[in-house]
Amino acid sequence: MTPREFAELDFSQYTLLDLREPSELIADGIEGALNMPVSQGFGALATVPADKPVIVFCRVGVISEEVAELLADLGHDVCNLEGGYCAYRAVKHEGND
Amino acid sequence: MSFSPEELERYTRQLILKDVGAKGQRKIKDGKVLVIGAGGLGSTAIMYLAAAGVGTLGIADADCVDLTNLQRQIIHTTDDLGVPKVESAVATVKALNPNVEVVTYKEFVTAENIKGIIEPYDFIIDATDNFPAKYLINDACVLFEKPFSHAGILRFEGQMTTYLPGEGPCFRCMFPVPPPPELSPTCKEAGIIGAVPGVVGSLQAVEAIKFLTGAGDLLVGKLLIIDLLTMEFHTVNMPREESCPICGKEPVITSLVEYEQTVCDLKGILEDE
Repeated sequence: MTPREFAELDFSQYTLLDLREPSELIADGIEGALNMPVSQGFGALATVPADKPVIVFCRVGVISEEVAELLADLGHDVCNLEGGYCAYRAVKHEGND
Repeated sequence: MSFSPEELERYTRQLILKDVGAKGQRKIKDGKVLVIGAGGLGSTAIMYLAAAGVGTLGIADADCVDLTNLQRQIIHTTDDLGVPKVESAVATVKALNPNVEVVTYKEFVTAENIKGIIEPYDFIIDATDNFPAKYLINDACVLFEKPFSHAGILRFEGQMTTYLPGEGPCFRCMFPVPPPPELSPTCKEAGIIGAVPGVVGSLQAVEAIKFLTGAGDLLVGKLLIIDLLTMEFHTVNMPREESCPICGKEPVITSLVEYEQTVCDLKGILEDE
């Protein structure tokens, strides 16, 4: 999913999975997103709720690509945010200029 | 195939590595690797393959653990003295990673048994310590089309190459006949410090993982020569030999026979030509 497409979404319809460190979310994150920092390991991926489609992101979209695959294997309807949170932040700021 | 939460947690650090990732980890888990020899080379090869999550690990060794082994064969411990090496190796593997299925062969590979032993595996690691076994493994892998890693060590030196069926040279292309005994002492005769086979065995594990995942470049058509006293690592390009006795244009070796004897006979044949 591209950052532009992502920015248009109604986030309440999705489970957002943020793989960054908690300090990064506090600085700049999306309210309601689930936080599973990569540094703490992927053991918790099995607990991602299955009731809504999942969108997963990290800083630049590289690690999240692997996580999207793992979640797809677990049966989720899942998308990776291309370019990660950095790319989304750039699109958000475009809108505010 | 999906991974259990335990596996996801366990393999996190390699799942985020682009050359492995989710796809690569599936290939590793589907992979079957046989390590022939649970000694100096085999110890680190087996341990790193187990740690990485290879689905099926075969371990072949007929020996029992001896105190003189422990300075280099770190898969075994002081509590394992007198225990068959395959049993001790299984215990280490299971403690490290219970997800690995281990199949053991408490026997030496011979012309009679090797075909059946190597058959189920995707990749074979020659972690043996003697030339007859190395030639037997080479010949079996060529004849029965199995990819394998050859390695050998002597004091502080090591050499390694990877064979892919039909692609690169085999071990005999590079060394058609074994060196004379006085130039090929065993660790017992020559001496060894454990980290040397440890390094080479670890390299063999990396090759096996690269084979399973498709990452990087394998040592096909290349002989890696390392000297750990000088810390020089050289890779020499080695061609496939048309005159190779087993994989060349007119193979002389078309089936496996007893290796001590055949090696002498072959030397006679090659000298006559």
